[in-house]
Amino acid sequence: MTWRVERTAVTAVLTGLVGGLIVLSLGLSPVARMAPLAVGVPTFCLLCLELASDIFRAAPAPGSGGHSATESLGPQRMFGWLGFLVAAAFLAGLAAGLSIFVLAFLRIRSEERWRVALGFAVGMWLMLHVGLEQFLRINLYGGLLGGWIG
Amino acid sequence: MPNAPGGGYDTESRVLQPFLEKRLGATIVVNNQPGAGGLIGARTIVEARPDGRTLGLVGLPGFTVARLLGQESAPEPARDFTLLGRMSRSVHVWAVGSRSPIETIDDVLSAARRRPLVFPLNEITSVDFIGIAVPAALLGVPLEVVPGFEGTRAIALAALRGDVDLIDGNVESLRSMLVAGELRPLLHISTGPVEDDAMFTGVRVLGGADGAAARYAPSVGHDVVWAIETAASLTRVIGSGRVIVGPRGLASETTECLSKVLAEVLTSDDLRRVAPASLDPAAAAVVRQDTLALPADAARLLPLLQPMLRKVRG
Amino acid sequence: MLEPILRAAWEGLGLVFSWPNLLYPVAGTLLSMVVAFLPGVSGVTLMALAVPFTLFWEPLPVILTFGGLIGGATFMGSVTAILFNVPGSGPSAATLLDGYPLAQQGQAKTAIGCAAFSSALGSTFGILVLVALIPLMHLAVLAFGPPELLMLLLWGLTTIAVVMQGSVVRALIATGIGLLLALVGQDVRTGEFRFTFGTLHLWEGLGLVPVMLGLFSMAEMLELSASGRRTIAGRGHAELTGSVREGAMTVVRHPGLFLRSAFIGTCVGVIPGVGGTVASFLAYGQAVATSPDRERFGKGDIRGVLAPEAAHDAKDGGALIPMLTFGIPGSDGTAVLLGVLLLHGLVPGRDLLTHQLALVFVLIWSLFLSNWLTSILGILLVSPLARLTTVRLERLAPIGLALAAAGAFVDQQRIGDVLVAVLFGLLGYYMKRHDWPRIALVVAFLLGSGIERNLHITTTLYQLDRLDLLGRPLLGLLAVLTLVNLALPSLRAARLSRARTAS
Repeated sequence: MTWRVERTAVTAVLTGLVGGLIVLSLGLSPVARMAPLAVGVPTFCLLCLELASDIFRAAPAPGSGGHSATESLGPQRMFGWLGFLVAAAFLAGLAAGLSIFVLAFLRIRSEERWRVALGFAVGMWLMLHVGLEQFLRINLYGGLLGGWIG
Repeated sequence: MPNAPGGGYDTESRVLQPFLEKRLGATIVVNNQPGAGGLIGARTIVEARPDGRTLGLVGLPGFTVARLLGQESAPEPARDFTLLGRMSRSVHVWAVGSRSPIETIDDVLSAARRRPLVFPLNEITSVDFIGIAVPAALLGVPLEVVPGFEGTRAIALAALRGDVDLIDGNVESLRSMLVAGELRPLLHISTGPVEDDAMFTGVRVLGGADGAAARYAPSVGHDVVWAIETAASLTRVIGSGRVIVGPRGLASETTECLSKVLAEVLTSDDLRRVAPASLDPAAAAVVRQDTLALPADAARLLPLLQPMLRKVRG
Repeated sequence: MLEPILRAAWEGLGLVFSWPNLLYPVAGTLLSMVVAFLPGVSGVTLMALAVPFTLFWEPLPVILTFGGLIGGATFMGSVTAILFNVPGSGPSAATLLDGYPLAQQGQAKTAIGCAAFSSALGSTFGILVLVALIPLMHLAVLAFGPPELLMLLLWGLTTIAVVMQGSVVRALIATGIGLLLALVGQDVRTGEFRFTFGTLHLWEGLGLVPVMLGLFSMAEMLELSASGRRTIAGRGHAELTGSVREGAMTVVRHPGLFLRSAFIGTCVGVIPGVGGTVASFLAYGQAVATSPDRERFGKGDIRGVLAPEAAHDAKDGGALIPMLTFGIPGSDGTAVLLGVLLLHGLVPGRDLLTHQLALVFVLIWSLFLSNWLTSILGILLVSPLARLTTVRLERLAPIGLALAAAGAFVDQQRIGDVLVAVLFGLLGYYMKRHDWPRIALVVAFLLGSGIERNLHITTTLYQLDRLDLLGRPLLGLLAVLTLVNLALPSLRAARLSRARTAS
């Protein structure tokens, strides 16, 4: 995805988001919809302006934030990892899931040695399970598969 | 337990925790589940397995009022929970700031004749709403409610500042300000005078044969007996209190055992020594009886609430 | 008038700094510091847990301990904000805006040193104000009603307009989006649910902590991973520059900024229901607004660490004011404290303040002690802590993400918040990449529901003829400040063009 397309897409998503909220607020009673509309409509208009500007004008060079157009690690793969994080947390529970995430990431993505990856993962698990759950007695989510793991 | 740390339920639960632990010989973890006005916590209990390991401290008045006002997602206490015992009760009172010109309930009525009285509120579906709207209807006091205040504290401050006329609130939440004289109690929402509380000597009571509802019923055009009964219903709904529950379908031995343990712990001297002042325990049987009567009591209040609801919801 | 206060202060001091009493606040502080390193755990959680343990103690040790617990946790949250861009709790979020960039430039020690000193001094300021106001506490608390609060929040919101570099249109849009997000949840007036999509999770709206953790912390981790940096500091530990002394000296060099920030923090603390997060962001905003040279903010301006830290800790002193006067907590920590006091038979109010002032001072001195102790210990630990920024990024990124996820969960103990954080992480990543100002969104989100709520109350009360808006001096003052904020950009532009034409 080229820089310019990405930039426009982001603006488009934001526009869609605000537009969606406006539409949703029309289903509310007049009193309740006042605030969303009062804020949403001007924001939407401004977004349309920005969108037009992104589409029709040359985008500024992507040097401002120090981002290069080609990056060493595609953001798409990071999203995959994020999805993995969420899935692990939901399925295996917070302590186990996050530790598994750390283990997998360090091993697969960062290509660390097993020793290092396990070390960090175990450390994470200790901190979450022992520190939060046992010591502070904060109930950590057990996960949908909770009965099987830990 | 439906509060984040620091909320009222949190303190009560944590006070109870060591006593229960000692008595049951088990580890008890207090789990905070804030959100949705107690509904998230409630739902956790409703959905929990009925194996006797999940208990909850829930506030009955909130759910009763929510259901009454149309919120289907609120649990119905008698149906969705196994009731195990009551921890505390709430009593509401009408109060004004110490600098207010209003000194008695009669002043309230004469002030109301000039213009509607302004009451602050948390939100429409809160217990305060019925604590305000029902007595006002019984006494014939025209009202304006201002929702949006965050909690009893903000409401009390508004009274002190003079931004509003009157407030309705839980006695325990307002106690320190009542004792210090910042707030003046005007009307006690109960069916009879409270003897052991020095704060309330001389304060009018809503219900009962000598109460304000009975006294002013004729001038408002209500039947006296009906007024007294409605006041009693209101008192019961508000007073249903914070109860300890388990999920529905708990095995009867477990229920028996837990109820007995709770009854012991809640009435023990040790607990009374450290417990919050609102501790007002009741055994499971009593609680069950009271709770079953709640929907009927609540239904009786509905016609009085409807005009106000219509006005606010537009 | 002054004499009994001084006497009680002296008595309280003696009680705290005696043996074995001193153990309690010190233990409380240490425990707080250690625990605060865990993601998402704040001092409040620890305090709540301490309640059953301390149930049977005498009042004095209880107060000593809790005073220690309040002060301890806040600093560690800022340390993680600076080092990893993961705030330990909401109020530390503003610190990461400039603290983390400083760490990225190898200046972690300076940042932490400044934070430590600023927060300790800030809390001292808050305490001094608290003590000075003891006779006047009533007035102080009653001064802030819904109209004043509304104006204060609007002032905060307009501060973003001034703060923003770059596209004004984008800043406005981000503000708008933040406000819209704040509207998710139940509308208090009608009881209707807005934008909740029928889920219970969104009933009370989006949580501040998951949103911030996602928008800043996770987004940052994503960006770092994508950018290929080797370490957070961009260099090995031998090349860490800066020092604690330098950081501490910053506070001395900017007395005006410090005083303003601490003042804001104290005021916000006095207002019940407005938390430390608002205090930090308001202070940050005013720091930027009042600086003639503001280009470095957001990129590692030490003043961006000074201001929120001062405000944050000053808030603790301020929050005690309504709590002690009326039994109305000004913050979560004081809410638990209130519960504890009541349990032990200490009823806040005039009685407590006149007859048991020494105990009140015990609380104050414990708080004071714990704040300084935390800062000093923090400074001592700076070197090893700062080294963490030189850990290789491939190792740190997953840990940072996991910590942020854990923190998002622990806030309200809802697993759904992890998803919220991740989604906002994505949003934050793209916002940063394409120059959409995140801070505008966050501040608008933070202040949005308060603004709507108080706007509604104010207009309703006004329509009911209960408010004499002109007779409220504080309101007028805040309104003027807000207008000044709005006018500043145009004034600045005018001055610039005048300078250009003159040269």
